[in-house]
Amino acid sequence: MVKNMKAKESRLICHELNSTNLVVYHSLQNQPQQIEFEDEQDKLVFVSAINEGLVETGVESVDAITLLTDEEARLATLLKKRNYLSKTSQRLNFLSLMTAENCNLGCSYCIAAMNMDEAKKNKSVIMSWDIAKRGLDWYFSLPTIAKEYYVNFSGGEPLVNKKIVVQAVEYIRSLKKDKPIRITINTNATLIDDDLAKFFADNRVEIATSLDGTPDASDMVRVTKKGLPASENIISGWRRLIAAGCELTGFMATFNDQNIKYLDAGIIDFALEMGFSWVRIAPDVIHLVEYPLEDIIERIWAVYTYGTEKGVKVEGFWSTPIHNMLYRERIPDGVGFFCGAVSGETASIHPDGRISACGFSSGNFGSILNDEPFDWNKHRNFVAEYFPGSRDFCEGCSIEGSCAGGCNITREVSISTRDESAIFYNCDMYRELTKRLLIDHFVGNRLEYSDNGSSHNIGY
Amino acid sequence: MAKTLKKAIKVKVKSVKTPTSKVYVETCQRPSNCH
Repeated sequence: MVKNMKAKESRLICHELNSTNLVVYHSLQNQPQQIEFEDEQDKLVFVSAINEGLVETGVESVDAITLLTDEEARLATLLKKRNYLSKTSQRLNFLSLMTAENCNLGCSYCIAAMNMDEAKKNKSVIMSWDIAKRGLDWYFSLPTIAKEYYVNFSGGEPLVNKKIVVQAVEYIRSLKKDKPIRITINTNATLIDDDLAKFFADNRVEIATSLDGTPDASDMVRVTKKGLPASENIISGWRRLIAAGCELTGFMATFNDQNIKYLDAGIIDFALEMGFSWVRIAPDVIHLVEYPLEDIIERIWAVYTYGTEKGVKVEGFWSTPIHNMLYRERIPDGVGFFCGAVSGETASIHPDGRISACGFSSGNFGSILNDEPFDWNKHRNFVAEYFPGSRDFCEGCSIEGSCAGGCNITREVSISTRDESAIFYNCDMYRELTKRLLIDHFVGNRLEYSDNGSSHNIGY
Repeated sequence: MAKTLKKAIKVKVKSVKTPTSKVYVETCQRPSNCH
C-alpha cells in the first residue's frame, strides 16, 4: 500500500462501479455522486478529461465539483470555516465529567493511560463534588445552538467514583432546563450491581460499553490489573443493565496485535446472541498495530459485510469519513470534523479541574476553578486547526475534506512519543475503507441509518 | 463563487445519482464512542 502520497492539490476522485458507472467526489468538497454514461467510451473520455483539467457536463451537481479549481475549492473552504468559527462559543453541547482517572481494569491499548498516569502523579485521580458541580453549573450557563444538552461520565472507569456519578445524575435531573438533557456513561460495566442498574434505568442514563470482540478475543486484552479475564464480569454487568430496563443494543471493540487475529464473523454472531443490533470495531488508534494492514482491512470488511447481511450495523473510526461525506455535510451548518472534540462541541473536566476538549487529551483550555474557566480564543484556534482542509499534513489526501485529520489523540500521542507510524497506518486504513464504503453505498444502497436512539448514537 | 475562466472539456453523461440516505444520524463523533 502506498504510504502517505502527497499531491498538494485537491482533486476529483473517481471509483469505478462497472463499465458505464463511476462514483465521483471532490477530495476537499466531497459531494459524492454516481455518474452513469451511455457507454464505456464516454466514461473513459470523462476520466481522461478530468486528468487533463476542468470538465463540464451540463449537470449542475457534477459541474459543481468538476469545474472547481484547487484555488476555488480552498477559497470555498475558507469561507465556510470563517462562518463556522464565528459560532464556536455557542457550539458546546457535550460535557464529559472524568469522575475517576483510574480504572479497575488494565487493558493493554488504553487510550486514557497517559491521563491516568498523570493524574496518579498529581494525586488528582478522583473528582470531588465541588469540581463536578462547578463543571455542571458552568456548562448549563453557556449559550448553545444545539437542540439537546449532553452530560457524559467517563475516565478511567467513572464508576470507580460511583458516589459522584450518582450525585451528579440526581443533580442534573433536578434541574429545570428548556432543552432535553441526555445523560450518558462510558463504563466497562464490571462495577454495576442491580441497584445501580435500576438507578441508571430510572434516570434514563444511556450506556456506552465495550468488549473487545467475542469473550475469548476480549480476554486477551481487556483484563483486570492482574491480567485476569474480564469478559464474564462485563457480560454480567450488561445483563443486570438489560434486566433493569436500560437500553443496551451494542458494544464497542478495540483490536491490537494480541486479539486482531480473532476479529471475524464471530463478533457478529456473538452480537446476535446478545440481541444486539450494532457493533463498533476499531484497531487501536494510538499505537501502531504491526499485524499487516491489508489483513486488518480485509478482516474489518468481512465483519462489515457479514454484519450488514445479518442486520447488524458495523461502524468504527474508519467509517467517520464516509459518514461525513454522505450525511454530516448535508445538514445545515454541518461540517465533517473527525469528532465532537475537534468540532468544538465537547468539553471534558478532569478531577483537578482542568478542562480539555477530548477527555483523553492532555490539552488545557482552562480550569473550572478559575473565575473565567475557559479560554474561548484558544479553543477557537484549536477548532480552526482541525477544520477540514486546514492541515498541511493532509493536503492532497483523497479524503482530506471528510476525514479532516483523524483522531486528535492519535496526533497528541505521536507528538509525545515522536512516532508518527500510527497516524500513517490509520490514514491508509481510512482511505481504503472509505473507498469501499462509498462504492458499497451506491451499489448496495447500504449505510442507511435511522435515528433509533441506540446507544452507539450516544452523544448524538 | 465565481467560476474559473479556464476552458473546460465538455463531456456527456447519461444520468447522475446523489447519496440515497435521507436520514442523518451523527455517530462516532463523541468521546462516548471512543474506548
